[in-house]
Amino acid sequence: MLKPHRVLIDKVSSYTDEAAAFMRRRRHHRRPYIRVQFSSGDALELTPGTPPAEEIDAAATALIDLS
Amino acid sequence: MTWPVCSYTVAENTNQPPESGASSHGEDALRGSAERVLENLAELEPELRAAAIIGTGGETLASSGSEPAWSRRAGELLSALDKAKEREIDSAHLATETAEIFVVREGGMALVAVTGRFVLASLTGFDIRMALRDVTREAANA
Repeated sequence: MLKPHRVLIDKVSSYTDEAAAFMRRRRHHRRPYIRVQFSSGDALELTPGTPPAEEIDAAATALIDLS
Repeated sequence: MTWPVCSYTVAENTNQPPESGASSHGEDALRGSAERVLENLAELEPELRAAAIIGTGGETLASSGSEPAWSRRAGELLSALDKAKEREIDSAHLATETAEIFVVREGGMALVAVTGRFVLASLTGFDIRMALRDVTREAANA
């Protein structure tokens, strides 16, 4: 049988693990992305930070700001 | 008039010219059709913020954006997407922290739409493509 303080520590650490996992999922879910498809069926996700992605991001942000 | 279907409503497409008095042929008819399609799309997509239909020559056929610069910005986004891989795109889906942008191209025309964040992407993309297909059909018949 676990000692009472062990039970408490396990509970607290399980809660913090849950919270950390929630934050990770939330961050992943909210990350910006650019997905492009071509008529050939090819699809790609542009890597953030690259010049084409930056240019598209700037155009998209300007468009959203006006919406 | 709208018809309730499942959990959302589909606007009735009467195929009538807009009340602005545009002629029923040629470019005016196409612009009228594009405006009707955007109105229908706005009814289908409650999260839609603004949208524009861009013609084969890069001209704006219809736009629901409040600012005149909106259509120009939509055209700039389209060119930036095409330039990314030096290939004309078929569709694109962009997400930022506050909104999402859907771009589809059909028959040389393009529809650019800005929606709220976390919309159902596949459903929204499908609706937008079907909307643009209506306009291209009209253009083919004109």
